[in-house]
Amino acid sequence: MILFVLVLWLVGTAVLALLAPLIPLAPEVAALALQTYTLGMAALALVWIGLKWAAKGET
Amino acid sequence: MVHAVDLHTIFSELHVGSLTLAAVALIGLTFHAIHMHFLRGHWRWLDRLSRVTPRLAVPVAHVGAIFGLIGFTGSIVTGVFTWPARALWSSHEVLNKVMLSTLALELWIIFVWLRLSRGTRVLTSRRLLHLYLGIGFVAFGLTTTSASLGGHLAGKESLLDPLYSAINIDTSAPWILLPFAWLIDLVYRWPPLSGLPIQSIYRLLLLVDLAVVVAIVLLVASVYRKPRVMDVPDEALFGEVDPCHPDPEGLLLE
Repeated sequence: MILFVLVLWLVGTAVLALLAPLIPLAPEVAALALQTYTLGMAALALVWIGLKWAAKGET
Repeated sequence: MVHAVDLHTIFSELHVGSLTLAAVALIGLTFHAIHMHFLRGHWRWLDRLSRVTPRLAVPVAHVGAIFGLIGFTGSIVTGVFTWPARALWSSHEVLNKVMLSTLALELWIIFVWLRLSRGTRVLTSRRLLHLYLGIGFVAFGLTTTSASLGGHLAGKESLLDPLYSAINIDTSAPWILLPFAWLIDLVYRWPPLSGLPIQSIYRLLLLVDLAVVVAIVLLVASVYRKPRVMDVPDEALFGEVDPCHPDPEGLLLE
């Protein structure tokens, strides 16, 4: 799952970074979009790690 | 005629109110967690209060978060129609608000999903309860900050203004972390990108997007897969086992 999130993040970042100058988006809008996407994926990964940690505590 | 501004106000009130209710319930659950760790058995009235609290707090937090999510979604949709796109993207404060709202929405969805998927285990498992509380409080913090920026956009003050000035935060500046600014700067200055034909790039990106969507669908399908043979109880597969002939078809010998 972590690997999947990492791959998804890399692909999404590449897509966002390439798409931004072509649309064209203002640089600060593109940077904030990229940051939001990255933080969102990081939150997902953290929740996943937290769930694993919780499952380990139950056994 | 009902304007988008009026609907936006209604949805904003609904989601902030509901999520605040959920946060109050989370404070009750925090009290329960602290009591279970440190104060259990000291005072009878506190034990009784701690026993009653989760019975009320968990459903209230859940229902509050669900109504908050409905209001949040409605607020985002009506908010887009309330202001013209140019006004939306040209204000740094709006961009900051969009970022915070997006992250808050994600965390509230995870919060509701956690309760739906884990059920009452969010109470019985200590670590799961800590995770549940953590996600809820971070989501509420993001929602509150986002709502505070909304107050600025409406031309009013916010209760968080003294906090912003105390820790020297300028809400009208873009809240961009340096690595993202550097990356975007690099991409915008990258010479090969300007020479490429735009149409083929769009096609390529569409293909990549399609691949990502297929990957997400496959992941969801694998999570909600049919039960494997190992997960199915023996009775469901083989029927009632006859004690005289436990393996009439020789299945176990294979």
